[in-house]
Amino acid sequence: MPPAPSRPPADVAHRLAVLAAHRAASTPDPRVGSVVAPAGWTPRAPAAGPAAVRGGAAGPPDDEPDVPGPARPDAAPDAPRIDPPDAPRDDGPDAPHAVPPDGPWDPSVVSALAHAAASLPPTASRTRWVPGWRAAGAAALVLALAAGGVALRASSAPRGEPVVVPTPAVDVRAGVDGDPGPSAERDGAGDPAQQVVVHVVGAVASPGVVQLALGARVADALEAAGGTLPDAETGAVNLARVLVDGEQLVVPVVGATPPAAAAAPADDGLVDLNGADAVALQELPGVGPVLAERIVERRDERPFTTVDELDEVTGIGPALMERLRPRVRV
Amino acid sequence: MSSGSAVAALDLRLVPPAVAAWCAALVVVHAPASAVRAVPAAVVALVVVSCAVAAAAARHVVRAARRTAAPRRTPPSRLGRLGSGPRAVAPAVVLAAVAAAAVLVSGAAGSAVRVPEAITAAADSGRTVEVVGRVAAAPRAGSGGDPRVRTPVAVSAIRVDGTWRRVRAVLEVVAPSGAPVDAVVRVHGVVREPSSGVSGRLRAGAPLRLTASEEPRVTAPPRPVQRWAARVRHGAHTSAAGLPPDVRGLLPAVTVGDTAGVPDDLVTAMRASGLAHVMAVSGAHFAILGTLVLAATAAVGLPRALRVAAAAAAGAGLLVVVGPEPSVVRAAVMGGVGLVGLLAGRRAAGPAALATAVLVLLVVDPQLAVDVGFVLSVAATAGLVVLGAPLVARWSARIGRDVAALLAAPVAAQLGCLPVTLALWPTLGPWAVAANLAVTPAVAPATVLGLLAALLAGSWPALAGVVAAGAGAACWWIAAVARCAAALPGAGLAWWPGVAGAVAALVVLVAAAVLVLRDEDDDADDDADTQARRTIRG
Repeated sequence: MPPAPSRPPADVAHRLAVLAAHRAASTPDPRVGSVVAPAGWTPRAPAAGPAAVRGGAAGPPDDEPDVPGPARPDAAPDAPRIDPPDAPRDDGPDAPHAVPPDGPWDPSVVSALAHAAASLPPTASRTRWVPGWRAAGAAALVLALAAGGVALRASSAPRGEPVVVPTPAVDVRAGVDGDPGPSAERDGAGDPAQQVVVHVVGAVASPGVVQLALGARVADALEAAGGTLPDAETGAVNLARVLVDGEQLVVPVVGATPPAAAAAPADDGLVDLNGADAVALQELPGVGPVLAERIVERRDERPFTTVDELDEVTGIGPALMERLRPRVRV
Repeated sequence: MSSGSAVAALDLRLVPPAVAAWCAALVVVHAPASAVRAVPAAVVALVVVSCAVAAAAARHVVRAARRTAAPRRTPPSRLGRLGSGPRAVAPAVVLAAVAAAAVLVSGAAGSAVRVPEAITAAADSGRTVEVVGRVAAAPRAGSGGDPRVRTPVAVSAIRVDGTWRRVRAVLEVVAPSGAPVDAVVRVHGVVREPSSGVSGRLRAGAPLRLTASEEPRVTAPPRPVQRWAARVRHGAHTSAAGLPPDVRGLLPAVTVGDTAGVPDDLVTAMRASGLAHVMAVSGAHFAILGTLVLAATAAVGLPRALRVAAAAAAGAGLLVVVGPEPSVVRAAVMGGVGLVGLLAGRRAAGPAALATAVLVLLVVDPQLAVDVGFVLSVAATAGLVVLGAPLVARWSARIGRDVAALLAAPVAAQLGCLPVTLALWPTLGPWAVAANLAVTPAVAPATVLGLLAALLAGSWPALAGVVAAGAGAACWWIAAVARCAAALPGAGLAWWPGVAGAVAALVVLVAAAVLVLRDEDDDADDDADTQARRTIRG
């Protein structure tokens, strides 16, 4: 390769260097070998860049003492960039171009670090802080695309528009993470998991236990129980409520006191959270009309299953909760 | 981006944009939400300014090109075609401005939707709501003896006042029990602001909390991939079941980052001895696995593309097993960066890859800027990338290159982390580096064998037990080192607390780094001379 006639721009010189490095590595050039490396040594490509420039592209250093290295003008001896004697294995059969990662190298972090250190360039004058216009443009484009993607995703985010959530298809009870067994088993369980079983009593044609699809409403349960009797007080039950497996539905007769309310001041003296009306609830310490109304609202939405759920009601904090706990039941 | 060629110069071109992006992300995080939402105007201004700068610079470049069209060309300066002077840095300025603008835009867009109005309204009213969503990560035990567990749930719909509304947000569900990762759950509860504490302040982007009194109702099982991942995680526990308590707790922690079973006193000891990072899934996990897969595929003789693909697949598998949490994704990215930086065999590639990762991650999620895990990750990787190779070069003359590399990796990472850890926990652990050195040989076997045992636990428990015993031995060593180092005198020296301490640490560190990098030039040359002479003679 002839010495560069004039000083080429850094890019061209650099490409020459890479070419030369590859050539020097793949076809051992005796001249290169005699200049930069003892016979039998092959510089690895990344490390050999600067070394091969002087050996291959720019000729022996003596020809042109002031050749500006493409990356390192203050030319120091380049011997350090030569690899240790184990380098020739880079020329193994599956590594025709002797790019280091192609050879049967030992890619442990430690040896890689060692290798990186071996190919360590001098640092003082070799840092690049400023990108060229082209590189900066490419990077800016990528960043703009990334930011645009984020903005696009954000703009497509739902903003709380109403949606119909399908009622749960499968009630998979599975343990906490790490215990996939139950969920895997229940997967194929099919029917039993998709059903709710409720007990309908009161003013219906055929009171008893009925099975319904999961997600069925109270109205469906009443229908399954033969429909309500003419004197049923349908206003006392929330027909639209989703059934909970294992519950008992009581359909009162018109004029009858709701059974639960009647049971409120029960023998044990506890107030039934699901049964007591707002007035009965107000007898509890610290519960006024507002709070009682909220408790009723909460249980209309979903009956209490444990006393602890009281704490979900706004206005019932831990202190009040402790005072209420011994006085209520579900 | 960084040129893929064999330029041996240390490529710091993307560092200024990364720093600018980080500053912008800090603005996004700390500025009031209303101000951040007004960002588009500011961004327009920023873009106009940077375009003006770019135009001015371009005009200058054109003029310069005309001038240099004359036969007598000035020789390239020391910095190559970069030249010097204020105009030469215009591309860097523009790129930094673009990076900052990208982060601001992304932050503004993100903050508008991070907490949907439907949820904030529910939090303000304090009413019971019902949500549907997928479990985003493994449930964590409550802090301070709270028996309830905290489960992050990616909520897709919320029911307020009887109407379901579509939303997209992550809520932390506090409930008596959790649910398997990736299962679809329905849960009732009250939305509240997270309690602010030290950790609350550190994590500015902490999600809102949904307090429920009953366990979440699982309405759909996890998807098959996640079910497999759960089985592997479960395997990490079962395979360690027969081992001593320290090991039994540490094995799942080291392999899949599940610290639930680690005894409290061991956690304290690990923290005091600077080994806490071993218990979390960090970039090191991905780097270790990646190197192992690369080595194995290289031994088999696969072509390079397949090797890289296999390593990437292994990384993706680990990502799925460990969980899709953002911190793990971030660790995977940083691990990939570390791997690229190390295996490319070029020191030049390291900083460029790190800066690229930081830039992209910050643009995607500006909240990371104040995430302790992210900061530590970046600091450790930066230490490894900047200091690792010079340290090896310095030490290899005396103790041989392999030993030097073995020592340099933990030392460089520790040094990188030092300013951050000192700022957060102003306690200097003088034994941390020594403890990390002592632990280094055990971490890789513990991780790899532990993962292998977890994979085998389902299909071949006997072999899994044998493999787990090997991993357990490594874990025992880690625990022993932690306890020993924590018990040594002066295990926790008080450091100057606060920002001043961090700045002091940073100054000391930079000074040390500069000394190392400076001397290393001469040392390397001396080294090289002797080496060359020796080889020529031989």
